[in-house]
Amino acid sequence: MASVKEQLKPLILKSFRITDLTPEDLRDDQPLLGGELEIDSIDILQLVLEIERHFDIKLVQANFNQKDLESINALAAIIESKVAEAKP
Amino acid sequence: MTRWYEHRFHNTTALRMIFFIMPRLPRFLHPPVAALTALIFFLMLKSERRAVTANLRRVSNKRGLALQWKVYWVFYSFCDLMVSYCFVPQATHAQLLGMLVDSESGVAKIDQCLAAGNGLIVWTAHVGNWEFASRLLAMYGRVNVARVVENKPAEIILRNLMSSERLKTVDLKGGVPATLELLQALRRNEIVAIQGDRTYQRHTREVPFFSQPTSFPVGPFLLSQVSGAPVLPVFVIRQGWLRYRVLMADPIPAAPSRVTFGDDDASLYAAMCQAVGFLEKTLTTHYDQWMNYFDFWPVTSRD
Repeated sequence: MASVKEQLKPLILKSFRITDLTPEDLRDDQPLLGGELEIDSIDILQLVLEIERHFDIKLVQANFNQKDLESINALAAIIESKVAEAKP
Repeated sequence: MTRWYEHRFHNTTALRMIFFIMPRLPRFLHPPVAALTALIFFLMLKSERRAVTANLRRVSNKRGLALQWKVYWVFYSFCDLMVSYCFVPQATHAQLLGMLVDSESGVAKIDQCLAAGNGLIVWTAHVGNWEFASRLLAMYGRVNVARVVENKPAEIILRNLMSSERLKTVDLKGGVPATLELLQALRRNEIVAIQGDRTYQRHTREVPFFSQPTSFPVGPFLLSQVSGAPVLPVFVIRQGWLRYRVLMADPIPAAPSRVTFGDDDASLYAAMCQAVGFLEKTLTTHYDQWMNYFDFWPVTSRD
């Protein structure tokens, strides 16, 4: 089974409609905000939509904050914790 | 492009005059004072008058004096809006309902939307009195007003007047954190209100509006899809001096979250068409209350 990070990277590319990069081009410490990806307020909605669908979780709740978007590592960490919470 | 709030009369002195004079005048004198004030600004603000004329020409198909008469009424409606700041911010719920010609309008629809627990996105526009609309909505719980915050002194005064524990402004210039804040508010089953007839960022979609493809922001509809909150198009229109009526469409359900990416676009487009269609229907009758003092079509097309 692919790791959360491996599953997350294609979702990032799909959400931001990036076609000139592959998942392998994205570093684990790649910043999601203020970096090369230049995410804006609508991009983030696309990403949340894709992540919540793919992992069947509610990602953005009261305890979610901007720090969780600092990097792919940080985002993967909170997804992992939400997936663990969602398991029966 | 000169926006309405950028002209030289939108300042703290003018606001203080309104707030000092109008509450002290007997109510029967308000309409004639507003009529005179509207006439003065109608004559003085040439670029705004030209822009409104161009907008209403397309919307109403009127020409000549009949068109100018309606343009004048836009300025009069704006006087009503400004004077309402003297009364609406501190009005009790009973007083607010007393300003409505039909106090039952839409209660069941809002209750029904919030009962699902996914929050509610109220999609409104610069029609009638949107500040009154936000106070009415606050009767149902916390309202997060999503807008671009202007830090000019006059705007700060107006914003401070309206803000309360139940009315929170979320500055769309905040970008990603502002979006997350709105999404979190919906997940607490709160209301998010947004004026959908201004484009603030690059994510827009063209939908038919008065027979012309016109760009409207996709943000509210995407937020609906992510949160599951329905979009409820609502306008509060003026029906006499400081008297209002709520016009509400049927809620537009959130697009199903489990669809493919291509279907998302179709769902978003359909939802946008429904909301914009209701705006067009409203403006067909109440176009003299559409307060966009800039050339609407060229701006949205260019964005």
